[in-house]
Amino acid sequence: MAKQHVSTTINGEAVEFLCETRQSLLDVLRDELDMTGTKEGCGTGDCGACSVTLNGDLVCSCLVLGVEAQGKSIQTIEGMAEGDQLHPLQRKFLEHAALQCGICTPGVLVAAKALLARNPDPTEEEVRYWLAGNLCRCTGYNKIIEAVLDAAREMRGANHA
Amino acid sequence: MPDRVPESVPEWVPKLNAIDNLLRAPVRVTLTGAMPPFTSGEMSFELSVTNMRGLLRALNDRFPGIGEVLEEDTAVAIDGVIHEVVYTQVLPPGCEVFFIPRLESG
Amino acid sequence: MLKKTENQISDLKVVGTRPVRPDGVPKVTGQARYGADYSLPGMLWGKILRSPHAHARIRSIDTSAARALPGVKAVMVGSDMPEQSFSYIGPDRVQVNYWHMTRNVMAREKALFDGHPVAAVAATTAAIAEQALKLIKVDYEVLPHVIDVDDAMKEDAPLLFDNMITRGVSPEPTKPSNVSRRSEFKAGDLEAGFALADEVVEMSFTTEPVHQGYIETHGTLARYGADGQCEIWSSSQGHFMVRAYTAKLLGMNISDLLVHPAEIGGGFGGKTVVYLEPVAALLSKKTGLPVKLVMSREDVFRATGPTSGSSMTVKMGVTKDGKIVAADGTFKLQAGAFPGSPVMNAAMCAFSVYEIENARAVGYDVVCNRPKAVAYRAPGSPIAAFAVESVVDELARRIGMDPLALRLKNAVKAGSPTIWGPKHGYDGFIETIEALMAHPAYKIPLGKNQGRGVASGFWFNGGGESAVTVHVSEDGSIAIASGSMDVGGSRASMALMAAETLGVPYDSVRSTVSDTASIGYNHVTGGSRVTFATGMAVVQACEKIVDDMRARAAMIWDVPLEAVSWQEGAAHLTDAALGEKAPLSLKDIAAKRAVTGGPIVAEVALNAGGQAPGFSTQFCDVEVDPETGAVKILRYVAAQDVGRAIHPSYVEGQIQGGVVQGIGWALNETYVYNDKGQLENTGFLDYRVPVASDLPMIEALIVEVPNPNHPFGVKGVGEVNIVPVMAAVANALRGATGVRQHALPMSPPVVLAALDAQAEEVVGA
Repeated sequence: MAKQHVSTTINGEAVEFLCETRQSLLDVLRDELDMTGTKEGCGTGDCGACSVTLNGDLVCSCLVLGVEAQGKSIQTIEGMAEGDQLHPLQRKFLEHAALQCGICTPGVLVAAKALLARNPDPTEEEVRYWLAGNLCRCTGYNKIIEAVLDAAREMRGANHA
Repeated sequence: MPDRVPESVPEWVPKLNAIDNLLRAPVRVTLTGAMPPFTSGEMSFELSVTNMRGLLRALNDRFPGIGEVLEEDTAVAIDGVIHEVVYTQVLPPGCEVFFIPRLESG
Repeated sequence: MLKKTENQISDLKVVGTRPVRPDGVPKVTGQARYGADYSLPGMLWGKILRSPHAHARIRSIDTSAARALPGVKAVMVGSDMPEQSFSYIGPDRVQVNYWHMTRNVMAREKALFDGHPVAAVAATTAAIAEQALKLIKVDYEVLPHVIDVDDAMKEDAPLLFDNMITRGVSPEPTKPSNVSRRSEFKAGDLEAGFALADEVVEMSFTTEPVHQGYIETHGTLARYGADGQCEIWSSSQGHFMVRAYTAKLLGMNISDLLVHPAEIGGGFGGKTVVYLEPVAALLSKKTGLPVKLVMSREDVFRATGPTSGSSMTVKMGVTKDGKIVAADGTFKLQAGAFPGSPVMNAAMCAFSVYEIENARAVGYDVVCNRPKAVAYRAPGSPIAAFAVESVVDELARRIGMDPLALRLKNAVKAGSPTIWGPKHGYDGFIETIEALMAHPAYKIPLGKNQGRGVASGFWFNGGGESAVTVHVSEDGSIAIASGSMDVGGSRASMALMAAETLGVPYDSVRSTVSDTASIGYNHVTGGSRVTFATGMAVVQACEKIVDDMRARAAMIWDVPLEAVSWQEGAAHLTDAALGEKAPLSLKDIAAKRAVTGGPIVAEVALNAGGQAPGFSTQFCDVEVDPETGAVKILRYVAAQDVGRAIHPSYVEGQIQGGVVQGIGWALNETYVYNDKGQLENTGFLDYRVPVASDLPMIEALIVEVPNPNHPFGVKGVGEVNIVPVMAAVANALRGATGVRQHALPMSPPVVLAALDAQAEEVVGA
């Protein structure tokens, strides 16, 4: 079976790759493009470790086919920092110790960023429900929620400045 | 580097100074778990020793083969504080020593 | 070396603060590399064929069609690994039997659980490897299977091993069974004890196996060279363990195997064993190319160790003024397909928080057709605590005593007896009870369908072997290397302890984990041992550096050693008669290292003892929906004695994480097998772990009763926080509904059925 040629944009850069139609976007990112920041926790869309945004929408990349990336814009964890400046969410996660083993962290960060893009002032409950699709087994979620709320606060302050 | 066990006379040999020996309270040792095959049921002992090496030698002299089992398969509680079995471990006079099954981690 | 700490370090400057961890940036930018993130040139993809049957004799395996598929480079079966002799080696509680271990990695005569590996393939792409698996023909003779522990103990139960004779029973049984061993711990006189009781409660309970639930599946990369040397990249809780087990299972010299510690995405005890590494290494050996082998989530649930399920009966007696006078517990834990449930731990921990003169705990280790049980956070103790703490709750109700007050009255302290022999060495339990009693939330009044539950727990905590090297670099900055895998931020704690000991800023200390060739043996990261044992080694190594610095400063100044002191990260000349000298910092001395003797390095290797156990007391408020049986956690407060919190944020994180795992264990997590013994819920959709929207903020109360045997007073933190949780939730449910739950998980259908049954009783009365 011949591979498909796909042209897409990842983290703002034009990218081309070859993949089989059966390969998921997650497989392509990790195995074809060496972008192992996005993690596979389950392969069935239940854990959120593979979260990326596709044209601004939060998706599980294990449930998206590689070929579906054609002509679209993808954002992964590798594109979250601006050059050598960490995103406020990334900084707050470190300050608040919102990660222990860190395997869920890329997915949670991508999901949290997508939340704050559409709701810059979420309540604790809204954050919890938005992140319900991102499983974490280490932290009990406490410090993750605190970090997201604190980052949101900082980002709102920066916008008003 | 581990501290070296002092040379000279092995610890469990009764000292020439008998008064020293008499005054020093013996260590009370209890085995738990699956020891009976070695000791025909005897589980508690009083021994005049000052460190773990001496204790292991004393027990092994009495019940050949038990030394290796204690070294490999047990941990030890000295007055309630748990330690690995290490030769240089000091045993204060009159202390209570229990050999217990070793710990699993999770 | 064992060096008792003479002076505890006080007046702390960095220990107890909350700086950012040294491995943080790679983890928040996706750069950190976990087990499945490594690749090498020419790498092949490995896949494992797994038995679809819960119990079957393997008559033959025909791999010829798979071998012939283009792109397939090697195929292996269990007998490609050397045979291991059948003998139980090692500690009573954790006996390893390599005959079992090699068969757990890959089956030989029999498949013993749905998902049991039977063959493996290495191919140029993952897709080809999958295809090749389908071409392997296995001739199974399906046998009757048994799933639950009570069923496995019945007279007519299908036997997993025809020659399994129960150990620990005298006289030895004549017939084989599925009971691998019986253990008993006893103190005092049970009959006399119960005779003193005013109230006696006896209840039976069952729990289901639950998986550690780490979000990272197992993954490894192996490169076996033509020279017989092999490198492995793998995420595990102990790369020295990976090296030792892999070498043993493949018949290699240990030093021919170099294991690199990948970052680990959660372990909780489940990654203290090997599954993939020997297979990947052998496939690499056969092909001459690196082989990558990663489990799917389905593989993880079908074939990797959960902790045991159980069937338990606990009977306890109390006087009307609250003294617990006797306790008797029977704990049957299922080991899965090979012996080794944590039943001994369960028996030893069960009553360990209470001073009870007359007590007995009996444990049975039972095999059945499920994946082999592996350690899970204080293995065994949470299971026993569910039963014991539920009974204690009933006792409190019978005599009308507050559950915290009942615990306080019977609480152990230093010098209290245990049923497993030695007396307790430490205080700490009482302080956790008092912390809760003083907490304002404990007095919040409850409403309709709400209830409050209290429970306590105990865990041994570990010591053991650690090796650490500390270097002072040419610019005076510090590098610490240890061999302890970092599961939850220990690199930060090591750096804090080093910075404190040396008197230097935290940011000048870098903390890493070395591979097996670069540092001495380190025991696994587990048993809540790393901050204690590896931390002790770090402090001792830094103390050696301080001595070295003083000696070099004395050389530089041409003064006696006694005239040099070390304070605030610098050498000071203390004898005014010898003149005035500006202090020499690490940087100054490092610049002069060559003339003062060479590189500045210190190494400490020790076998740590003197660790203190963990105690935790917790309360939980729940609200039950009487229409659906759904349970909502309203608030949760967990007090734990940690000795000293080196980095309080990570200590809180451990407590919060353990509590949430316990909540999942209490309310939802279970394995669902069909009547063929095949696992039906092989993913996170139906193996329901807690998600963010299920929970409130978990309050972690850090109690500090320092351990005098550690330079900073550390007691292990990671595990005991999970021990009381299921009982706390069950006791809260009892308060909210009036119904005692005897089975885990307390999922909505179960709770609803209990509520309906109670309603019927009332109506019928």
